[in-house]
Amino acid sequence: MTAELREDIARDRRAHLIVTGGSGYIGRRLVEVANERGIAITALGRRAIEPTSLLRSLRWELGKRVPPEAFQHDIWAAPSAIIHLAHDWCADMPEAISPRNVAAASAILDSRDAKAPHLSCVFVSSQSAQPDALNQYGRCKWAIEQIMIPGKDVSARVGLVYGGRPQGQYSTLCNLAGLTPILPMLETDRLVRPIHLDEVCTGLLALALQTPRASKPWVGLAGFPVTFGQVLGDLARWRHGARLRVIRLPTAPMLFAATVLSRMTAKGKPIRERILGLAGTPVTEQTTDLRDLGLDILPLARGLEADTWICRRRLLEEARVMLAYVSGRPAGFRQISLYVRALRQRRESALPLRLSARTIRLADARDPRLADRFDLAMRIAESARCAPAPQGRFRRLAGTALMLAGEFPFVLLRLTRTRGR
Amino acid sequence: MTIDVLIVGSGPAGVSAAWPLVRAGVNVVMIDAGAGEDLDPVNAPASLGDLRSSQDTWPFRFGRELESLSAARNADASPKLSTPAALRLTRTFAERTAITASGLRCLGAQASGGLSNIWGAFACAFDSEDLSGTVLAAGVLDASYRAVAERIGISGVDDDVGRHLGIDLPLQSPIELDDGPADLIARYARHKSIVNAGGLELGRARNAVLSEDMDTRRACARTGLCLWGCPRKAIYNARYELAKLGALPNFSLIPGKRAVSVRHDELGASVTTVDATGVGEEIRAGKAILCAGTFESTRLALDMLSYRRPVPLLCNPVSALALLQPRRLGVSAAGEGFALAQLAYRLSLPDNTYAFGAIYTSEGLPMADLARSIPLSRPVAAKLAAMLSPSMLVATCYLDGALSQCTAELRGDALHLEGGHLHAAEVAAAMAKRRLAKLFRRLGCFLLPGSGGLSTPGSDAHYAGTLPHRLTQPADGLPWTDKGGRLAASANVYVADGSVLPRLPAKHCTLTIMANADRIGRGIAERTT
Repeated sequence: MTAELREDIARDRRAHLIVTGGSGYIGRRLVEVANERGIAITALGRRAIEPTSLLRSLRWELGKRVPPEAFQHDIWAAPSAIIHLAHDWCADMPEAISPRNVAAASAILDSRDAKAPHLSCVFVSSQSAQPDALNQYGRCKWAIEQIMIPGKDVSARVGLVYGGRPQGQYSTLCNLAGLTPILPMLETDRLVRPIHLDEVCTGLLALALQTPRASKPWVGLAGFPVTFGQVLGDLARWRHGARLRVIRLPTAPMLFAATVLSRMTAKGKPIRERILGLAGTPVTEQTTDLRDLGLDILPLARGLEADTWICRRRLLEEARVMLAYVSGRPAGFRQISLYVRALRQRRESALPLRLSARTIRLADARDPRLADRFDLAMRIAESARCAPAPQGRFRRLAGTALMLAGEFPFVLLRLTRTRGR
Repeated sequence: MTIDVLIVGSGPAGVSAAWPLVRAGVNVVMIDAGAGEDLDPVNAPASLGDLRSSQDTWPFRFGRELESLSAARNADASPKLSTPAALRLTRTFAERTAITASGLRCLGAQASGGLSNIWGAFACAFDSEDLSGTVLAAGVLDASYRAVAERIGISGVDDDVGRHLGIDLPLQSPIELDDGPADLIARYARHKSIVNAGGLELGRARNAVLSEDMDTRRACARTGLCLWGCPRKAIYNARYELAKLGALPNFSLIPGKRAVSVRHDELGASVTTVDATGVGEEIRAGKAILCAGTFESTRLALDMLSYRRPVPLLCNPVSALALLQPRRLGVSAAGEGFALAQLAYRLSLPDNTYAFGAIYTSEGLPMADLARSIPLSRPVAAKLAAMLSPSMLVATCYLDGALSQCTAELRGDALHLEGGHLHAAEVAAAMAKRRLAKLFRRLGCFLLPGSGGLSTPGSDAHYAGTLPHRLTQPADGLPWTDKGGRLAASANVYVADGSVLPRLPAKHCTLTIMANADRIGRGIAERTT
């Protein structure tokens, strides 16, 4: 984020936005980011969100008019924009996606026009929004974009969103990437534009708060193009610490199978819809949009490396395995916490490899890059070491001799490493 | 109050220079970059045994802010520099001074007591051979050595090594030896003639550690936690003397002020200071004595002289040798002890040179440090290190500072340091290692493989010689100080810390720095009164 954008947001600390879909994957984080920056949020949704000094939740259902109280607040300023995130997936009936969501967007705009016509609406659209998109989702997003008022409202065509707490599509991708070392997948060469969740939120806030409003009907919120296979590979590496080999499946037979399945069972319809969505995603040039918004988008690998949620989870796992290995017993909460805190202070991220109780001994023997981590784990383990039971000198020496005899395979492993180097 | 003398720095040199001046009735003001830092360890256990048996000792070991874990451990750094307080001090020093260094470890402390906060307390005097040919030769420092020894309290004994560590010093009885060093010295007594013939002399170390109570400081209780600081104040620290000095009417301490520049004229000197909030103040005095530590004093002096070329900097090349006493294998770990130097040795080398070192037990050291060099799996290495620790000794090996090849240069407002060793230092270190391995084997100690390599220059914070005492102005135009500590070309600015030592022999220099500061203080007192 640029300094100018930071200043803009700081200037709008008392800004107030209305957000639909505040409990979804993007919405939940958007509310957090806005609140962290002092922006008050009125969240509209079916589920109530626990209120705070900068957050209130109003009951609302997609397709209904926005409740009038959303447009006013006793303390906060009047809202300056609506960010429309909510989407009805119509899982049972994909062909109903477009009419239902278009009607819902119309209801929001009608409410806005009646109560606060000056408000702009930021509609969260998709990179697949095209009049002739292969899937219903892309056509639906395009149809909604058409009812937005140019110069007042703006659509944000968001790329493939990753990062943060896994939820929705991101959760599915994470699970896929960690499922197996070899993954057969469709459209692995298809270019997609991944963008981190926090970058999406920053971009949406910038769009909602920017003055003058964007003159373009839509702006792109998406990162550098990479293949879908690479997205899965990077997710496997950074989220699961594993290497993933993606094998490309032919699209046509799979689509045929999904079409047959969709005619036989309702569960086949979403599968077909997703295949079409992936196959129909175009790659458009939009660097100027990002520049206008003052956004610096990180490449996927760097975004995943810096992702707080991934770092925390993998650090915790690394700490647990490392500490259990060096101390010979399960690590306590305090030791794990010290390990993670120390690495955060050093500004180091989790190791880019999967450590487990089975592989760590091999890593100890063969991977000199881990020396500092083992040192750290040993020092922390030492701080929680129980005093050894009193032993006679002979027993202590005999025990040590036995322990050293058991080290023979390890020394052999280590020697092979040394020779290899 | 008119300020007769302004002392910059509250470390061992500053305090030592202050005492003779204050006693002579001179009005002295001391500025101290520190401001009452809390350097006491958190949740200190009662002893080493308690530390080992307690379940949750992390705040003591690592500090509340995890200072000891926040950077990867430096393999060749002295263990005393890895405690939370030492790391906090050295980090603050690096941040405030903005010194840049290449090939040299730069350590300092901008806190009350200066570098004495991380001093290993080894207190030895230089002998006439060490200082021959310099302005400090021929017993110039003898009276000051005695005065300082009496003031700070040194425990030790006159023995084979003692005669190289200063004679006729007032000494308290030595601290009781742990079993390992006691076994070594007993064997030395039996094989003395053989090892002496090989050039090795062994004896009790001398430490600025009390074995008898002195004022508010109490005698060593052998808790074994010396590296973290002594709650009984048995280990000397210059900040203990600040309260005593402050009780005298002609002494004032101004804490929280760092000197940024010094200027002089015919009538006196003025020091510009800044506090933690960046507010500046100029303090005017009849004379100024720079005792801010070698790096800061050198920066101030070079800035005053507008000297912007490199000046030589002396550092002792140092290595550490791990020694195993097989007779003690399998003995249980002691729950108490003394973690500073217990023995000292002097090893003669060719060309009238020598290596000097102190011998420590390894029981107070973190197991991870010992386990790091054992080529076994980490859990086994940790258990083996714990088993070996009571039967291990660590010997430092210092060489003459003339074998270092370091420089200090003022670049902009900050000092830049370049470090390195002469090839002769590596040759001498290898030779000392070979000879020590052979002679210690005679005494039942075996050198462990992998130890004995030279550490990064500056690792033990022995820095000196940037503004050396000389009788006359050197032909090479380098900055210098006269015998009385007066900075060349200045009427009223003096330097009295490590930067004025003309030589850095293979011994610990702190006691000599203090004695020399005392001597300079006496000289100024005589001239002022």
